[in-house]
Amino acid sequence: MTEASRNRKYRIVHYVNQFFGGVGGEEKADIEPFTIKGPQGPGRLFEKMFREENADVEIVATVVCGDSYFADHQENVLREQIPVIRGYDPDLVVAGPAFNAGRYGMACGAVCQALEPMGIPAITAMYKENPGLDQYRKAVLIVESANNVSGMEDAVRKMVRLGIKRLRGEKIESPKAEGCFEQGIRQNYFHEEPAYLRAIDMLLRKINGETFETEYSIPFFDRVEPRPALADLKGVTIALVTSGGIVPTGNPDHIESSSASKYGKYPLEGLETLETKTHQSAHGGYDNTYANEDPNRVLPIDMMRKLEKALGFKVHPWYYATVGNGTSVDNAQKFAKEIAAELTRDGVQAVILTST
Amino acid sequence: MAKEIERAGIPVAHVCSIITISQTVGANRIVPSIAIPHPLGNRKNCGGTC
Repeated sequence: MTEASRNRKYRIVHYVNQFFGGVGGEEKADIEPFTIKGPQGPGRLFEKMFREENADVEIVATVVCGDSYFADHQENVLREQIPVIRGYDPDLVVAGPAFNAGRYGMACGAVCQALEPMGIPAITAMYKENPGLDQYRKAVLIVESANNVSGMEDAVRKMVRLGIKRLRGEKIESPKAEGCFEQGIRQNYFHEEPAYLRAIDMLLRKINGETFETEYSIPFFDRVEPRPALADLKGVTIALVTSGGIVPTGNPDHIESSSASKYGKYPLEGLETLETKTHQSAHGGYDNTYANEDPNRVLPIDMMRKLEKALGFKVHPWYYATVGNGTSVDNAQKFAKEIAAELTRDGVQAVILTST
Repeated sequence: MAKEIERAGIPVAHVCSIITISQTVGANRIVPSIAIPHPLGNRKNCGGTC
C-alpha cells in the first residue's frame, strides 16, 4: 500500500431510508428513491468519524428510499438505483445503520448484496434480530448495532473502522474483532497450541466456572410446532419423501451423491414394490449394497402397499428424493419448502420421511 | 426437511438411523430405524437372498 493511495480522498455513497433521509416517518415510507448530493443525516456523522480515524473521505451522494417502497418494488429499485450509485464511482458504499427496523434492514442488505459482485465494497449495520441479518449475512459484511438509534455513534464508529479497512484493502479480522456478524466462512490457520491442549484448557475453565469461548458454536435450530396427529388413517393421503437417495435406475436427474443441489419427483403409481432393475441409491454417504439389492429398505413402498389395504389410507402417487449426504441446511430447507407446497396443493395430509 | 414440511402444515414422521441428529435439528416425530444402509429392512430376514 503506497502512501499516495493511503492518503487519497475516497468517495462514499450512503443509502438511507426516508426517516434518516430527512423526509419523514412511517407516513412517508412509500416515497420513491431519490438522490441528495453530499451527506444527509447520519452521513455527517460518518464523515466526522472517518476524519477522526484519519481517513480522507467525502460522502458524494446519499440515496434515499422509503422502506415500504423498497419492500414493494425491490427489483425495480435495485435495477434503477444501483447504476445511479455506480455513476458516482464510489470506493465504498455504506447503508444504514438499520438497527432493528426490519424493512430498512432488508433494504440495506439488498443494496449491499447487489454492489459487492460489482467490486464495490458495501457494508451495513443492524441489530441481531433484524430479519435482514439472516437474509444477507452470508453475502454482506454486517456490523452489529444496538436495536435503536441510541446506538448510532457506536455503530457508525465500527462501520467507519471496517470501512477504512475495506477502502485500503487491509485484512478483515475475525467477526468478533471487527464487531460484525459471522458470515459462515471458515478459514484454516495454524494455531500455536494443538487442539488437545486448547480443549483441556477450555474444559478446566468450564469446570472452574470461568469464562471460556468456544471455537465453533453449535448452530441454532428453531423449533416447529407439531401438527396434530392424524386420528384416523382412513381416506388420508400419505406421501413418501426420502433423503436416502432412492432414484429410478440411472439417476435421471443426476442428483449428486454428496452435497445435493437438487431433488427429484418420481412416480409410484402402479408400483407394488421397488426392484433392483427399476430403482437404485444415488447416495454417496453409506454402503449402497443393501439399498440396491432391495430399494424398499430405504423407500418402503412394498410395506406401504400392504398397509394401504389394511388401514385404508392412500399412498400419494409421487415420491420425492434427494441425497442427505453433506447437503447444506439451506438447500434442504429450500427443497422441503418446494416439496411441501406441492404436497399441500395435492391434498397430502401426512408424510413419512426416511433417512439413512 | 421434516421440519420445513411440518412448518407448512403437514405432520411428518421422520424414520432415521441417527436419531440424535434428527432431535438436534428439531424433528417432532422420530421413528428409530434398523441401520444406516437399510433403515427399513432387516437384512438378516431376507430369506437368504442377501
